[in-house]
This record gives sequence, structure tokens and C-alpha cells, in this order.
Amino acid sequence: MVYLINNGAKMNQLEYNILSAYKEYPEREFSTYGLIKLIYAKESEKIEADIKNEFHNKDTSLQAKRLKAKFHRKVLYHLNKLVEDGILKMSTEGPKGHKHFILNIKPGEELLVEKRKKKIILTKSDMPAMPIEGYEQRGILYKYESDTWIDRLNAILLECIQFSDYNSLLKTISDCFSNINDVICLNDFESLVQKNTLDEFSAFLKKLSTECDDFGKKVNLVFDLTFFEEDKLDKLLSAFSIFSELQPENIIIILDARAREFNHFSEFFEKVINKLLEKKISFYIKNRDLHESPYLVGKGGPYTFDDKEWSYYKKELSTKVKGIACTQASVVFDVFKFFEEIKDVGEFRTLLLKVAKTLLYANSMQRRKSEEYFRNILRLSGQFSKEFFMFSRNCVRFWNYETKENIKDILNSAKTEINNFCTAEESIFIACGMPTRFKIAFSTAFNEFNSKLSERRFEAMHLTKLEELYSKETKNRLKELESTFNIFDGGNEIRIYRGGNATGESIVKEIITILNTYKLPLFCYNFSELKGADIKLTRFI
Amino acid sequence: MEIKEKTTMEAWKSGMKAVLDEGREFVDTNKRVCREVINLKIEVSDPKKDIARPIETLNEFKKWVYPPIDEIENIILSKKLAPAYAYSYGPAIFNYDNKINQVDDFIIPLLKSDPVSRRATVVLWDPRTDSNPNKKAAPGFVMLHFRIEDGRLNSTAVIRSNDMFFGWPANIYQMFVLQEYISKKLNCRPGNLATFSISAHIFKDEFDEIKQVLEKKS
Repeated sequence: MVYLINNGAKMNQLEYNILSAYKEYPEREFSTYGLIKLIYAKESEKIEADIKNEFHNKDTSLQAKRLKAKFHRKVLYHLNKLVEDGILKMSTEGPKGHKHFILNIKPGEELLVEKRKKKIILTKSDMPAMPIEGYEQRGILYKYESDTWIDRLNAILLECIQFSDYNSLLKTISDCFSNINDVICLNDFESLVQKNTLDEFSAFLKKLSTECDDFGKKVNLVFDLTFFEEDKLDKLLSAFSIFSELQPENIIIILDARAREFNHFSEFFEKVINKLLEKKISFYIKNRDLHESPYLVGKGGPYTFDDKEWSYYKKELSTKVKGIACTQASVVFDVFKFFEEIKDVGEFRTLLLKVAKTLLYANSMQRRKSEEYFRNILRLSGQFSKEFFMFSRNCVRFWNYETKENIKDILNSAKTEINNFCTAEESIFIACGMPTRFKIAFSTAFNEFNSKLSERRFEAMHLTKLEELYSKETKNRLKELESTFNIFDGGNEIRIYRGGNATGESIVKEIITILNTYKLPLFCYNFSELKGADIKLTRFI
Repeated sequence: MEIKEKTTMEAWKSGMKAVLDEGREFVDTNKRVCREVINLKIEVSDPKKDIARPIETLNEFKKWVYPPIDEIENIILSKKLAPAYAYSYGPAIFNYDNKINQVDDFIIPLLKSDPVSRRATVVLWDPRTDSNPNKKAAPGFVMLHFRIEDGRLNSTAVIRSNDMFFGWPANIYQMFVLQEYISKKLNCRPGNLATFSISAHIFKDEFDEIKQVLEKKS
């Protein structure tokens, strides 16, 4: 569809420059200052230098700030006018009033803006019709963040060992936020805590929390606790204290450890958990003995890498790159809704293949436009930018899957078909001289993936004391859940709602029991039901 | 073995038929059963007529998704290596070793100054990176050669390993777009296209579909 904007007014040069920026980057979300930096490149460089440079006198700095504000007002004036004309729309606004704008056209649409002698055509690339659209309309399937599911990645991992201070990490995270739509994992975060002061950590956490809230993203702090330095435990404990005081809503703690560490440093873990318990902050435990590669936890659900590929990454690349992509695009499958409406297992498998084709189309678009869509994150790896997608996968998530009998068998055989499809497609692309990666993993979904998902139909797992872990009912349930980790190779979790009289000491004992007894690579302790919780241990996913 | 056909579709079908009828069976590194003919030459005298027809035929099968034609074209014409590809032909042709534009700085000036030259060769294999036993993927096109005969630009490609069912349709299309690019700059007509496939093979998994294609009218 082509829209024509011609209201007889004259097009100002600055307005034209703003539209030119959107013409060049039609998919991009610009902040007011982002546009200033693009349009007034030289001036804004000088402004930044004048503001930052401590050797300049106050007048210079003040003058630079005034000039920056002047540019800001000018650009914002035209941005608001373009919003009024329906050419742009505001995408986000932070608490401090920082506005972001995107082009107000859908993919495939064209906008002709003609004012007197100046004319500019704005287009967004067309998306082919996807073979799942009918099922999306029926509420059986949903793409994760459908507006950005092509031009943003779901999840990426940043290596904290590649950053010396929090400021450089924060800048990278901010740059990456415009390229991702769910979660950034900060791997080996303990390395930064050890290298920097606690005040710096506190300042970082506050800023990061605000950014996460403003941009609606999750960040995971993954603490590798398998290489404990005993003399630095106090500092780590203080960091957890700061975290629990701040209670950042969108930052998630993942403790990557083995039963061994929980045994040897039980006192430390008790203190850490007490801090989190005080403020009812949920946390995750990743069992390193069962799964080497990190788990990421976003709004859509958990993510992870393939363990074999992760070993290769650790050996060959982890010290050379700042980050890698984990998951490119996701689709959620509402299993309850499907079998309520369609009931046919054959069609379930056929639909999964259609989902696979849809993800292939999405990947194809991402490949061709990678320079445009993912410019910021590709820059992260410098000469290794080609390796950025080397370990990434796509994700089919399943919601309410336990409502269908024999679902594990159905998913297992469907997984084989999907894997064969991916292998065949990779072979076709290699044969055509375009060797590329295309992998699909199965995962579980969180209800935050999409608000329209069917009502949760599985019971949560409650725990009030250690002894409950030894009951027959619990043992059977946990054993059953163990097997789901093989199916959901792209990410799965067990969430334990802890009620009763929880203490750091009792929880550490429970964690050690779970780590030693069950093959659960990732589980979460949730304290939201701490008071008045159902004391019966039932079930969860 | 040598095949000469007028159209692209006829050439593709004859190539596959030759491998299906006369190929030797073997199991490849990925444990797939293949049938293979060594040193198969296929020449298409009038490729323009139906150059995209084999790709369209593959797209008619709903079983798989074939790469979009603009992506196939972009792979050979784009100087930039997109991060999602392990390798790409365009950068090797137009920006070899980040230095040499083999087409614009060599082939075109050479054939302009000496139209009968036999030196208009583009090399895509880089021994520094491709002659590595641990490398998972290496280019199929090893070299491309361009020659002006009777005012027409003819092209020949040496293809190391060539999947005749899935690969050849894209390869011949890529040769065609490159030939068009060069002939426009030389102001001459595009001529025939020839592929010399050192290993021309098909996979047993696709025999049924290959037979369906062979039964189609060209």
C-alpha cells in the first residue's frame, strides 16, 4: 500500500534530514539524541567532547550543554510534527522523558512524503506471508513480539570477562537493547564484581535497572560459582546485599554451580539466600554437572545453547569475542488451544513443520538484512562478527503442553522431523553456495510470552520443607520432569514456590538434595507465596 | 562426460539423468548415499531463455524451502560478506583477500584491451583458509573463466563438488548474473554457460523428486 502525504506545507531542511535518516534505516528506532548524532555528526562530537572534557572551563561545558539542548528542541519540534502528520510514531518514552520514534508504516508499505519541491519515499521491507498466519488468528500460535520478531534477536550473551568496568558494559548493553527483544545474559558476572568496587556495582545496577524498565527487557546476571576464591566471598556477598536492597524487577540472578560448591560453601550460600529471601527475590540455580552452557531467562521463557557447540565456543572463541547470539526468533505453540480446537495429532506435526518454515523465512530476512538490523551487536565482535550467529538457534515454545496425553512421545517424534528439516535446509543452502546455519530448538514458554495464551492449566510446585522432597509423590513428579529436559533442548525450567518457614539454611539443604538427586539442569526458587502458601508439594513446570 | 543443450532446463535434466543412469554409488562424509559422475561438463547455449526455470521447479515442491532468488543473486554480486554465511562468492570475486576486485580491476580491463585473451580467470578458492581440513564448508566454485567468442561472452565454471539437484540450478543462475554484469560493462552480448563439475552428484534421498523433474516437459 502506498500513502501520500502532501499537506501543501514547505518541507524544512531538518525535517528532510530526519526523514532521510529513516529512509536509510527504515526499521530502526531512533531517540531524539540518536538523530542529533546522525544529522549533526560533527557538532555533536564536539559537544560531547566539550561536556566531558574536565580541562575545559565551566563556561565551555555550559555552552556545549546549551547547544545540545538547542539541537534537542529543534529536532524534537520536527519529530513531533512528523508524529502529528502520521509519518512517525513514538515507540517508547522513559521516565526522564526520553522519547524514541519509529516509522509509522507496516512492512511492505510505502510512504511518499511530498512538500513543495521536496519529495522523499519511505519503505519498509516486505515480509512474505507466513504459513502460520491462520493459526495465529485462531490463537494457537504466536510469534514472540511480532512487531520486532524479524529485526531483533530474542536473546544474546555478553562475556563479562571481556569488560574491565561497568561503564563499558552498560554502554554495550544500551547499544544492544535496540537489537534484541527479550533478554541479555551477562555471563561470568562475578568477574566484574571482583574487579570493581561495590559502589560502582551499586551505581551500575541502578542504571541497568532503569534501562531494563525503560526498554522492557530482561537482563540475567550469571554467577559462575565453580571457581570460588574464598578470600573474595565477602565482596560477592555484599554485592548480593546491594542487589536485594535495590530489588531490580527485570534483572534475574542465576547461580551457576554444582552440589560440591553448595556443600563446601554452605555458609556463604545461606547468607546469600537469606538476603534474597528477605525481599522475596526469586533466583535460579543452574546445575553445572548436568549442563555446561549458560541458561538465560527472559520474558518469553528460558533459553540455552547446545552443550557440544558450547564446548567448541569455550575452547575456540570465548576469549576473543564480547558476545554471541543465543536465539534469533521464537514462536509459541498453545498446545491446549490446539487440541481443544483441532484434536488431530497429524495436523499438530504438520503445523510444526509450518512453524519451522516460518522460522526459516525469518532467518532468511535476518541474514539478508543483518548489517542493517544488527549493526550494533555485530560491531561487538570486531573481526569475529561472522561467528556471532555461529551458535544461535530458533525456538518453538510449548505452552500448556501437559494437557495432552502422550505429548512427550509426540514432541519427541516431531523433534526428529524438525531436525531433519533443518539438516535438509542447511544442505540446500550449502549446495547453493550459501552455507548458513539453521537450527530449531524446543523450549517451554512463560505466560508473559503473550497475554492471549490460554489460561495456565498446570499446577505449580509448592515446597514448605526439605522432607517433602522425599515423598513418593514428589519423587515421581520430579523424575517425570527430568525427562522433559531432553525434549526441551532449547530451554526448560522447574519453578519451586517456597512457602512455610523458609531460611537460608533450609533452602541450601533443599538445593543440595535436588542437585544430588535429580537431573534438573535449571530450577528456580520463587518466594512470592512465602506467607500462607499451600503446604502441599504438587506439581509444576 | 559432456552434455550440450540449448536451454537451462534441458541441461539440468540431462545432467541429472546422466548421474542417475551412469553414476557410481558411494556414501559421503555425512553418511548420505550419493550417486556420482566424475568430470561432468554441461554446456547451455541459450541460457537466458529459461535461466530461472530450474529454481522455479524446485520451488514447486512444497517439501522444502529453496533460497529466494534475490539472495542467490546477491551471494555472487555482493562484495560484502554477510555475517550469517560461512563463506560467500561475492567477496571472493570482488574483494579477494580484502584487496583484489578480480572482475572490475582485472577481467573487464583485460577483455577490453585484449578481447581474445584466454587469461580472464577468477579464482574463488583461497588455500590459506579453504585448504584447512578442519574447515566445515568450502566454496563449490573453484574458478570462473570468461572468453569472448564471436562477440559473445562465454563463461565456464569449475565446480569442485556439485549437487546436481539442489546446487546446479543456483550455480548456473549465479554464473548467469555475473556474466550479465560483465557483458554489460564490456558492451557485448552474453553467450553460453558451461559448468565443469568435478564431482557431479545426487543424493538417494531425492531420487523420487529427481524422477518427477525428469518426467516434466521442459
